[in-house]
Amino acid sequence: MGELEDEFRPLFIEEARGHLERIASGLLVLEAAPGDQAAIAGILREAHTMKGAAGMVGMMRVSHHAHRLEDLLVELRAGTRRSSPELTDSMLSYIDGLGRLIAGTTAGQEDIADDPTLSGLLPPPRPVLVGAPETGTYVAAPAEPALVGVASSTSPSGADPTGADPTGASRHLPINGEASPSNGEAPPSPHINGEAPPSPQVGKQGKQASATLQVPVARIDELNRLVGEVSAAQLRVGHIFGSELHRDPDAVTEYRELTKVINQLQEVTERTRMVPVGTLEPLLHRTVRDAARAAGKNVRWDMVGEEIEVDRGVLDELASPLLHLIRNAVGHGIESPEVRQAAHKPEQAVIRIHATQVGSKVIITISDDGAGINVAAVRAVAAKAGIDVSGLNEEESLRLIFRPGNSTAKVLTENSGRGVGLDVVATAVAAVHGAIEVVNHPGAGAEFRIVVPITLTVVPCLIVSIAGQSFALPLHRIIRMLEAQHVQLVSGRMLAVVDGLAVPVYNLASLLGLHSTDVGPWVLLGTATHAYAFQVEKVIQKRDVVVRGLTGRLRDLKSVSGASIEPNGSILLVLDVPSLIERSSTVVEPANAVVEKPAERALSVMVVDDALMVRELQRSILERAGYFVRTANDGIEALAMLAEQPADLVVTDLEMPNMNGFNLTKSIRAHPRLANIPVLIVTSRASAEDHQLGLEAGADGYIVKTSFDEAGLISAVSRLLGRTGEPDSVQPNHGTNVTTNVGTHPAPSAVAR
Amino acid sequence: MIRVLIFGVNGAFFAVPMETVHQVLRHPVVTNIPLSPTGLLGVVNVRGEIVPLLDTGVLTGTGGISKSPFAVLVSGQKDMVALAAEELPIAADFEEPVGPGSRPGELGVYSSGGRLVVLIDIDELAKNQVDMKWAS
Repeated sequence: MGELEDEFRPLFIEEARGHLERIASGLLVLEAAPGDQAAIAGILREAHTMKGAAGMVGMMRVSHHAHRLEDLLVELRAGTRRSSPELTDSMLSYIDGLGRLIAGTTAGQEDIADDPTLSGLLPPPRPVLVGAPETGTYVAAPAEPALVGVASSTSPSGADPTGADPTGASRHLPINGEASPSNGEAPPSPHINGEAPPSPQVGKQGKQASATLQVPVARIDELNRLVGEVSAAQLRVGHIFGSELHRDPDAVTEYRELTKVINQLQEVTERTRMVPVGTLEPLLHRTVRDAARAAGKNVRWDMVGEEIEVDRGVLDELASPLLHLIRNAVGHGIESPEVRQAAHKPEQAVIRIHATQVGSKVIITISDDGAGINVAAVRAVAAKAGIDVSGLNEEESLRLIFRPGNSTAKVLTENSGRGVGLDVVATAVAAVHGAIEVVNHPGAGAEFRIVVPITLTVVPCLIVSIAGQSFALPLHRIIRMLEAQHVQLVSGRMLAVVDGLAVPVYNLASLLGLHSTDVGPWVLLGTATHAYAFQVEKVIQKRDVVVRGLTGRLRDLKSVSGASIEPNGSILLVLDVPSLIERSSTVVEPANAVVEKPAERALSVMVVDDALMVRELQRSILERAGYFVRTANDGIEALAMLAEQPADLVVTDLEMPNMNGFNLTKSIRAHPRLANIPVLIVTSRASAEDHQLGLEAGADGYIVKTSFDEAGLISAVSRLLGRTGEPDSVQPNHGTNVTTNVGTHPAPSAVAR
Repeated sequence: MIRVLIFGVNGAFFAVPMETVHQVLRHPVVTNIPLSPTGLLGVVNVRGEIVPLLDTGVLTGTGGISKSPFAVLVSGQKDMVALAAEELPIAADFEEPVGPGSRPGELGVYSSGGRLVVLIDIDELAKNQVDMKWAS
């Protein structure tokens, strides 16, 4: 038995972490909704399972502590005790202590010493109904006399320091061989004789937990590595087929089958590295709660988008900056209840984390409705540190908070109460190839947006070979593949008829400046209205690629949008299709370029937003959809640029310095040459009133950013462009069938295809 | 005194401060980037990180090189870059410069082991010599 215990103990320790985490989450749910029977039942099951499992591996002390927790929960379930912030404090501390006890346990050491502090954390079981505030939020209420039982027992002297249960008689729970708790809403859990069997169910996480299995990360990494090696070995075998047996490996059915299976295997193993953002929820939630309690603030916690998945490595790196930001928000951003009341704000503040996936980027927004950032103070401190702030505008001044230099951080705290060590946050985010920006609403809160780029997100790609080098083409740009068709030279361009329409054909190799003589299949790329055929040497396979964004000076490269480290260590480049298309339209014979160019002119969109990140995101989405995009910082800049060169559509934010989106829309409508340009407002302001104001100002569409997604933006943009049509300056396209009508507001989306 | 790493390219010698050097790669596997600027030889995989390999010949104005049997991995201001080297780089200590640099990014000319070596600031040189957009 001893050996068995030793063997299973590490597994238990791993498992216990999950139990404790779910108990802690459950306690927070319970605190927000005291009396939530389902929550109580969930926590109870976790504690019960942990008790049983600890006993099985001989960790009697842990088993005992879990039992004490159970006792308390049974009282909560029976209504003889009520949940309160103080009780939650005690129980959470108890959980933490238990976690430390388990973590510090190695074989044979477990029962050496008891932890009297831990034992003292929980109130002794008492069948007395204790009053508690009904609130489910983190109110820093003074210790109520009614809670004295809890308060007094939180001191180490409040309970038997030996950890023995002083009131064993009050137990509601069976110990050995008795029935599992089945009253209340707790469903009866099956049990074997003795301790309860490990039942992986708990409250809301019940379903999830039962469908998942905890696996040590090292094992997953090893699996990924091995699959990579299998893949590399398979490639070598394919090579031998060619060199030794003079056979094309792909002509061998078994080899093709093997390739297919290995590709699937690779896909599946790569996905094992992805975890939902919600994995951090317990930690963040707990931090907000504890920080709010400690600072005497009333804060509601809200998280949206927990299911969004990112690479585990990225999420691990993001934990620390996120914690930093939410601690900052609670500590410095959110005002005390009194101050909030005086400012006519709801007494209860909100900290919200919102995760969304836009294209191949994950955006995590941390917002609060506190006092916002005192930009004047930030400037003052920076100036004091010797920085020339005279030429900085509001946005640039705000960005000073990310400036490195700890010496100013302290002063900043005292002066403005905000901006502590944010350079650390910026650095940590940059380390995962992410970016951070801040939006400040003085008096109304602050919002930090972290964007984790394309980096570790999986992108389905077509892998093609050109001049012996492999490249990945993102699949969402590919319409379909086809055999090489008959090509004709028309007006200096190579054209082919595909699906009854003439499309320009380019040799990808020559477009990339590579030398290739092989003639392979075509890949039809582009948008519904602008298709292009690219001739490739060879199509290798279709598979998911874990794409990393290029960083540093590589970011500016136009021909590639990202790269992937292949299992064999080589680098696979992901081609930037919009750039290639753009380039394809310029690689034509000069004599005909002037005539042909208008035919390929992409519709132009002006993106106006004061947030660089939003601008760039929208730019990349629209560019990928084949639009020509220009960007402007605010309304003034946009108007100036539009006056110089009008656009086919304007996409604007509402809140911007100098000239906001409403006024920009009005100015466009009032401008003789620009009046007909459709305007799409993309804003975080969701109120019906703002919506109405936007439409009154003359906007043609209104998208709320919270519901913002790539497809939504593209469909809104194409809808608006479909409704108006190309400006008069556009020449008709005579060269191909891919054309639009001229004169009477034609609809590009209605092009016959 | 400054500790440096000296590398040769096109028969000339250049040096970078040792404190910026991470490691020297032998026979780096270079992935060519189509349409990249001439100052960029390609990218290399350094422990999972994709690092640009700069053509030190172009950077230093001595003419583009085609082979890079060695690469010196250094930190720039914002990112890590690999510098192509034609010979095994060697460490040395510089005392006082014997002459000024002739271009932005050249910090000074030093004498080391009978050779004249130019101490370079890689960010400054790259800024002036490598335009990351389309190849010209």
